Amino acid sequence: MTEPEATAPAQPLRVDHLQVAYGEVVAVGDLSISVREGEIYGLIGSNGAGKTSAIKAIMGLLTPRKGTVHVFGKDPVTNGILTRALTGYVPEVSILYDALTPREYLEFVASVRRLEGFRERLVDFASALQIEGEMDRAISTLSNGTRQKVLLVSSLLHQPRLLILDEPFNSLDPRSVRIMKDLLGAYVRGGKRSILFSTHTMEVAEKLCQRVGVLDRGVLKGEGTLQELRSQVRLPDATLEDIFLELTTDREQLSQIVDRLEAA
Amino acid sequence: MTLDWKERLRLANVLYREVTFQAIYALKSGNVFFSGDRKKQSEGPQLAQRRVLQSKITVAVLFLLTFLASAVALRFGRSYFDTSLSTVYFDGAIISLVLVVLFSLVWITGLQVALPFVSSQATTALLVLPLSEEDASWVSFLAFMRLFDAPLITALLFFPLVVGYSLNSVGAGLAIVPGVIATEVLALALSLLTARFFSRSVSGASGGSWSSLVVRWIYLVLWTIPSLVITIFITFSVQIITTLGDWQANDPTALQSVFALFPFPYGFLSASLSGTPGTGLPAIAVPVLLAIIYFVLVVFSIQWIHGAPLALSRISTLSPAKRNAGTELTLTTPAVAVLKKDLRIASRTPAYAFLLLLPLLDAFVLGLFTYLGSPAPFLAQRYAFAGVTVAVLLATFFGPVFFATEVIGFSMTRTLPLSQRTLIFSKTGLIAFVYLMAFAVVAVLVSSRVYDFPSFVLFAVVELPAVVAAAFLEIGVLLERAKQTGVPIASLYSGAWWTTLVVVPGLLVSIAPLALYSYVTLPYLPPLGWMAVVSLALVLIIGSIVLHGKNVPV
Repeated sequence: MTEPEATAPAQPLRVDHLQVAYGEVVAVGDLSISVREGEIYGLIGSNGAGKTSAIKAIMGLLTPRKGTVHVFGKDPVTNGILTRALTGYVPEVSILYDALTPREYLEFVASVRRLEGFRERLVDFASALQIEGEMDRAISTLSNGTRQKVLLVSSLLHQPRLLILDEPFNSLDPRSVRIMKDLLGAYVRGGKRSILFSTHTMEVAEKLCQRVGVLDRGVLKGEGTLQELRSQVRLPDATLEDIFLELTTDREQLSQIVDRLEAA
Repeated sequence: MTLDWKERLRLANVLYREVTFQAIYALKSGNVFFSGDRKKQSEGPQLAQRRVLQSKITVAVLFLLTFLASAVALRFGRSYFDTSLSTVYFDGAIISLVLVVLFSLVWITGLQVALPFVSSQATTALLVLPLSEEDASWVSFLAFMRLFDAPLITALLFFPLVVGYSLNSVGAGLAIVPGVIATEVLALALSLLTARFFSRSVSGASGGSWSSLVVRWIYLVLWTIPSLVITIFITFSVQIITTLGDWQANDPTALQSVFALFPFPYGFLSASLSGTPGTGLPAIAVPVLLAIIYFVLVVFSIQWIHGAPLALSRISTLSPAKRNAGTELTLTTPAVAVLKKDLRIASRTPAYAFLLLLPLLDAFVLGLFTYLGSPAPFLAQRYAFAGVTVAVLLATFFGPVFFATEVIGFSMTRTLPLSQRTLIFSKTGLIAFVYLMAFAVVAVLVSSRVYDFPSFVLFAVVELPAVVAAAFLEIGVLLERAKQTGVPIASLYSGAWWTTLVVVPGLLVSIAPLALYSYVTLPYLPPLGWMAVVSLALVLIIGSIVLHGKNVPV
């Protein structure tokens, strides 16, 4: 592919006081995070917490109402061609051209990205995720999991320096989840590549991420390593789920809901 | 327990709301609508229904215009057509030709509606309800019918009125009612059959093999038949009536054979009941028998049709996975990659393929007419120029629709390092390709007929920059708009009025050099020279405005 990497500044992602709104509805209120080189950063939150809106703004697909986003020092809205060349993105919903086959879709993506020397990687990814046999089927006929795998492969083909994954494991089978977790761990190991990924599955985030940001109704409630978050909530043995609930939920209200459901 | 009709209609209404909503909004790119403000979201279903209603009224008005044209032909047409055909056959032929056009319009509309009906997957909601197969079938059928009830009811009510009024006969008007019913039912059955074939053989078929490519294109050519029939029957109605007149005088068997074909017996019966002399019982016995036979087919079709929409939505389109499909990819430049993608999508999506093929088929019809008509070379030259003009108009008119091939995939394309300039170039390339192909078709057919073939080729070549300028303008405007609202499905039922509106400035641009050539005489240069100057100026001015600052991502 072309060589934007050589000129890219060091900081993969920096978000300062980001606000994303749709008319009167504020999806992200005030978000400031940064992703460092060689780390997997997890953005965790409940459904509707604002994760997808924040990621769309980071990708330059939505224009923020306030705040700034810098991908390798560049604004993704005004320098979109460069930032998109440096990033790979898997959206929450597997949106693809239904009339194409995975092979045709990957040809399109690889041609637009002007890729070279990717063929071995493609063979490895396709084999690991078991999509070789699906290459000539219409995308409209593929299962959600297979569509997700095609998107994952297309986002990894150019070995992006920043991989942005929005709920990437939602539709995957356990085998593929395991392979992807190992793959993502190995992907950042050299220290040159980074991953931002959103999830509401705490176990995945706890095992995979070096640092985590807890997003609740558009506001960042906590950020740091597991240890730092434990200190923040003063629960030394807490799991990420405990920390998440501590930061985002009224415990008493939660137990009342559970009691009511049990009685129902 | 079986549902009563009131309950079936209520459930069908829920299904109808979902299909309209899905067709208008859910397939918009990047979920722009869903990300919008809450007020718009809550108004969405009503807005979608309103837009579908507008589209239904548009089709109904199209039907009415066709009927009005037939009224003029029935009342005053004999002198215009200058035919030796007897009155009853003339009236019968006109009524039958309208039924053929109606059949084609219903077929094509049904096909337009059937595929979004399937892709909306709205009928899956029925699977979780405790409904019998019979009830589920009826609910699906009623929902499907609601998508174009207004045009069908319009035809059923107004065509008999038009026939009755035009022939001054209540009997003639009433006699055509079964003809309209038969036409609508058989056209619907055919649209559902062709939609089923598409879903089975094309939509879910594997890519990459020549056999699947051939099947796909056979289907797509088949898809253009109704529009071609409409074009031929309207354009060549005078020639058809004249030929029928000749047959009545010289070859009565040929005339009888035509009048035995559907829907001619219905047209003939209606005309016979208008009190025209010489149409007694012996003359109408055979048409009556044929009309009854066709109606038996209609009854069987009704039985099949009511289960067809549900069956259609359940078709499994899985093709077997290949063990060693391989992972070889063939790469090109970004602009060609977009073009290739669009052609692939168009060849698998009837609505787009139809627009790709229509200019070519119309050019073919005009070219064939010029070739077979053997007119004087000068006249042939004019026909050939007319063929190119039609190609220009159709390429400019339907060009913007190719932008809609992006639809939902556009949100993923927006995450790639693809510039707006590349996208505009590739879409413009597609429009220019359609124009050049249509020109090539005309050129091949008329090469031996026109007296100055090089001038004809030059005429088409100097018009090309104007077509490109029009495409730049249309695609540039659409791209700006799509970034705000998403890409809609550009079909008659999507209500995407702005994809149609953008055609107006596009047409003005592409027509300007043609108008200059035909109507204005300027000094210093021959007409073709001035045409070339204007055409080049248009592409330079519009191109520099539209492409300025477009080296930004889509």
